[in-house]
Amino acid sequence: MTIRATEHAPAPVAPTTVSVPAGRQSNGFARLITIQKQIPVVQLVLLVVVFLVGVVTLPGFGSPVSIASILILSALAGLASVGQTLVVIIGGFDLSVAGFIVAGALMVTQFAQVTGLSFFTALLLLIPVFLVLGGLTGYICHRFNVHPIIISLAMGSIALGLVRVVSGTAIVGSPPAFLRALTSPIGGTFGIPIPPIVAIWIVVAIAMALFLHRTVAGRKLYATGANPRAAGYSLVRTRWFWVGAFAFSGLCSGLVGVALVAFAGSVDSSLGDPYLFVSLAAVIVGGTVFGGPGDYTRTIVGALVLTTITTVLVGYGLVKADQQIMYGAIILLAMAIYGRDKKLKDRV
Amino acid sequence: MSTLAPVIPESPVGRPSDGQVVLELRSIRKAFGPTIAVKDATFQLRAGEVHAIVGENGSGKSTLVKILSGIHMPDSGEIVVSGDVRSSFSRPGAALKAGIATVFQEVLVVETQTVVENLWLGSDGFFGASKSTRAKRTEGAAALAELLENPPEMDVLIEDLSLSDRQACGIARAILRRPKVLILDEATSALDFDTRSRLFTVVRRLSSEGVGVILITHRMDEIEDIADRLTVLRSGETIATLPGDNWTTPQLVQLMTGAEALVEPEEQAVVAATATGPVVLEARGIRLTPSAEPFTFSLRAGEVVGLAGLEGQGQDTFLRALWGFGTSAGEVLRTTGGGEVQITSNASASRSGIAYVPRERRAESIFEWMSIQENFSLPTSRQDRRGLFLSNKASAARFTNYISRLNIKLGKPSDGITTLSGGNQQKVIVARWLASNPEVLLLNDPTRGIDINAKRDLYALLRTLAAEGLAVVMLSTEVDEHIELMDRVLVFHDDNCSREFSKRELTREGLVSSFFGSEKEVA
Repeated sequence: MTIRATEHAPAPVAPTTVSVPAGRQSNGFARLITIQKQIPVVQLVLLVVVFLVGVVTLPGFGSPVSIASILILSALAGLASVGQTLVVIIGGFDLSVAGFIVAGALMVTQFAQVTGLSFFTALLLLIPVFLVLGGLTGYICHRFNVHPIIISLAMGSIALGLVRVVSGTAIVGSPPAFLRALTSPIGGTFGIPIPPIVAIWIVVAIAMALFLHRTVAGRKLYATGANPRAAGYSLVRTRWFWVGAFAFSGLCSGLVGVALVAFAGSVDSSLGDPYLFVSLAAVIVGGTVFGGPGDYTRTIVGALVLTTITTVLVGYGLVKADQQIMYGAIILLAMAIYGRDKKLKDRV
Repeated sequence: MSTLAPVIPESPVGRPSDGQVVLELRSIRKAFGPTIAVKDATFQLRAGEVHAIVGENGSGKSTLVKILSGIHMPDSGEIVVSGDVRSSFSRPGAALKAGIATVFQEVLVVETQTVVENLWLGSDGFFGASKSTRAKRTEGAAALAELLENPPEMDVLIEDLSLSDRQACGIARAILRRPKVLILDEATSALDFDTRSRLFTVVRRLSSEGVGVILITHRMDEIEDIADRLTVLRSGETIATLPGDNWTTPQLVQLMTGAEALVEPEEQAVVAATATGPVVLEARGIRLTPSAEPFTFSLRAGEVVGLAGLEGQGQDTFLRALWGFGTSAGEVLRTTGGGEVQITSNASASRSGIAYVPRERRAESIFEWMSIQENFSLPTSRQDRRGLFLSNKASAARFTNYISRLNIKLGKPSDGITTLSGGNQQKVIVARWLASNPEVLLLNDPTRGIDINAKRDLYALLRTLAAEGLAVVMLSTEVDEHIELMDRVLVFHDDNCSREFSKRELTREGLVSSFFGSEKEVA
């Protein structure tokens, strides 16, 4: 029956535990996955292969101007994803990018014209406004524990609306002439033969690397994404990292909008649309996972891969719809590699 | 400790407990990763009996109930329901279909739906309803009327009811399914006194109709009141089954705790020195809930104080209050030579040299994808600043001290924290907080689920630190830990600090029976 002698039953009171061997035995494939999680090998190989295919099969693809164009497009995509990278690292994502880009572009063109402000005054005004609007997204998401999908989309729409209210409904505008030099493929920076926007990108990349890996704030940012509760117990003020990351993302989008005015030569309401997707795709294809691990260097690789593939495909005569299918497929692939972690399971 | 004769024959004649077996568990085992929650559970429930299952925290009661209600699947063993042998219930619906209805301690109702909707929750199919609305209302009202003196209207939203009434709805929901086996898993803890006695009347009626009832409770008076038989669980094993009218509290306590010590007696002697340092932390007029009794607690440098009690009796709230989470009333003061600082937030606690090791290692402490060293250094990373930027070397140098001091077994500090065993992870977390040079260290059940060697290392460390003047408050769910490690132990019951033991008053039996609020019988 169910009766059992207890007299000498040696049993500790707590559930018995057995220590787990440190580390799992890894076969070759597992080791590859481990390396892949530290360095985006697949993406780098893909980049080189696609580039070589372009050079061999498309006439003029390897010319300096063509390479400069790819770099400029990559820089725009990469700069649009600086803030997005931080937002993804803390475990959110920012869909206000498109709205903020158009709003930023309008700020320095039509808004400046209507209000009679100079380009630089408008630019100076843009910085605090976009920081506040972006920061508000982060604040609302964290304070009320709502997913940033809706809030950021709404905030992008509000930003665009605000600028339009002031500058009128018709969207037209053209950039000041000197701005065009920023994104000219034949231009140089202080005598160095690199387009200015690419030079800016390099500086930003170095700053991001230092910030993320060599400052207390960078560490705490990662901690906020890795485990918000544990970060809270470690006295990290996670709310301010949400505010900060989204504010920075808002500012980046606004400034990319300014650069895009120069690149595109005119402003229209669909200016930001491709960048909404590209900014997120660059981050994810680079291998940054929601809540980390992740890095801006990965986003750089992601931006280069996406831009190069797109350029080659355009060279082959693919239309926009084809590109969209390809983008979606690449993101699915990237998520299959990085997203299958236990983290995702925890989050759902 | 072999004075007890544990094998007590079941009474061949009893109360209505002679019915046939409706539910039987045979050698059930269930492990969660390295932790074995249920090791070997064998148990029989007869039709028409009320069968209590008792055991300490972590003895496997909840896991067993979850296996019976189809939430967990056992690793091995058999479940026999009405003669039907099976290895598991694949989902909660399967258990319900087999006639097993469970009411859990947590009040599980849908707040935004009405009483009648909650009573019949999940009974309808995708298209057709199980009963007419009218039948649902009358049957529901009858079931509730039996449990509550003033039953609510059927159309009232559940969120407008008191907690006790909500739980009554949860119980009525289970009863309305006409189960063959009714499991009450601490379901009475949310009920008020009147509803509880009404529930017991209902339980007696059900058992007279042949329903088998499994009662999980921490309250000895409930067992005394209503149980026909009781089964003791310890460390995931069913230790003994006793008739409901032939047991004493001390006997039960001994069955629940066993008698095996974790640390050899000679090692215990080392702790004997009692702390006489200055008061470093004081909690004045603390109330854990608005209705609880206020009490005062002062902590001296160099002492190790244990917080004990059954799960959720207020010890957790109290420990967190000491780290500035706040309570209903009272204040927490950090006293130093220079004066007093009131602790009003986590930040102020931390600034005043109070460190807190949270309870859930994985959810509240670990940054899973980050390295061991990053996990260690995060809250104190300011110390690693050299000029503008962090120095990896400085951080590594700091960590090296703790690796040897806490005997942390690791590959490289740059390896992921998840490459470590639970015990070593916990050591890293303790090191994380020691690195902030605290004068008061609060630990929330730090040895839960870690292996015995890591536990010993941790005990040794805490003793050394206390000898150096650190004040330690540690919540523990393990009785042995209190016996071996603590200079004194505060016992919590019903959100009150119900009892304090000094080192020499501490015995396993005395401590455990104080958990149940019945210390007089033993101590």
